[in-house]
Amino acid sequence: MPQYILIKEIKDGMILSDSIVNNFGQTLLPAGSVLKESHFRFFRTWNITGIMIKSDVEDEDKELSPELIKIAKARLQKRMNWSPKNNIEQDLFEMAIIKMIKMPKVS
Amino acid sequence: MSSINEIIKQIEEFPTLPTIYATLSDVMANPRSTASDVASVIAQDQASASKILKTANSSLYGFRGRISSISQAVVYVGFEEVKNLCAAISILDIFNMKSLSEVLNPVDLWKHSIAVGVISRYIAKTTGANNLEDYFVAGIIHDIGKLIFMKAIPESYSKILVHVSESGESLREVEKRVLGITHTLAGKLLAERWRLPKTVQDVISYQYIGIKDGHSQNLVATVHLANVVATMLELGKTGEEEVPPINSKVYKILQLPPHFFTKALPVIIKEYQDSVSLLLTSK
Repeated sequence: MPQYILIKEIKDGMILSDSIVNNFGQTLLPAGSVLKESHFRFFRTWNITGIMIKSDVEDEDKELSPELIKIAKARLQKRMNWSPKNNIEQDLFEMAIIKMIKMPKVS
Repeated sequence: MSSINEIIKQIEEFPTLPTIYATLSDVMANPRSTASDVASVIAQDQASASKILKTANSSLYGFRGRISSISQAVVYVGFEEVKNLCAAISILDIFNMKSLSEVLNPVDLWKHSIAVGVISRYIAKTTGANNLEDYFVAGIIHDIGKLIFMKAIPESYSKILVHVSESGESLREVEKRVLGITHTLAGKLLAERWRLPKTVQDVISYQYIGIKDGHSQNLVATVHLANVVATMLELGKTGEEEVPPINSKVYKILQLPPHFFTKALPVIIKEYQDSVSLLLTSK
């Protein structure tokens, strides 16, 4: 799952998930490029404030193990004073748990 | 603490939506207007022009990097959507401020509002609703009352937010007790002053109930549900930790297909990130 970051947050080794394209359709930096902190200057020159990077592989590949689901469920239930009472709410509850486990940094 | 009268007076003194929005509405109301007429209005406002171009070239539309002029963008993105984007950009600009509160800052509240806009638009698309962009703008605006308080009475509101976070009391109840007015009423008063559509005003007023008969029914039900979804997903912050309950009548109105949310998650997250990057970054 790609993640949006500000250019000041660029770290060596991050991977660009979406190509950087100018208004004339020319690709300035292709998707998949491995970023270095020195790219900060390049983005600033092009007036780009934020980019999409590939998020940590360990999060995306994290399995929905019973243990992780249990922790996520408990965290979610702490913020809710109601429980899912039909299929739609059950589906909604599951979505929130998947997001918590697989995309914890998207906020 | 400020009294209700002082807050209402401050709302009356709030800036109006910039002329670009009013001018666009006039130009679009004329059936003879062309995309270049609309483009020439937008071109007068550099900030809006560059964001419209960025939007047209973003993954939200799938023409990545191929649209280079405003009039092209107007054709591809559509008249109504361009108008609504200009409204969103103008509103973000008016409430561009720093917060005194450690519990809630405007950027996090904007992120929540953008999430509600994205989820509302996604629900509307799936349920076959018309005017998809009304759903996005309604989502963006639904919590505007909180921003009014953050701007008009920053210190008092900061104390209220801290109290709510420590006590777990309902934000609207504390607002009513301390200020004499809730953020939903304050938001509605500003929406009236800005002459936003009645349907959008209804969303602000009825967002927690979820039901409003008449023209606003689908929009109110959708934003009510989207607000809960965004809170559950922890996209942005609302000033309240608790996930609000859902009025079960909205399911009957919206008729969502099975496994709607689990299937929608990747798209919602991608659109959310794109919209945040588009609307919350400078230039």
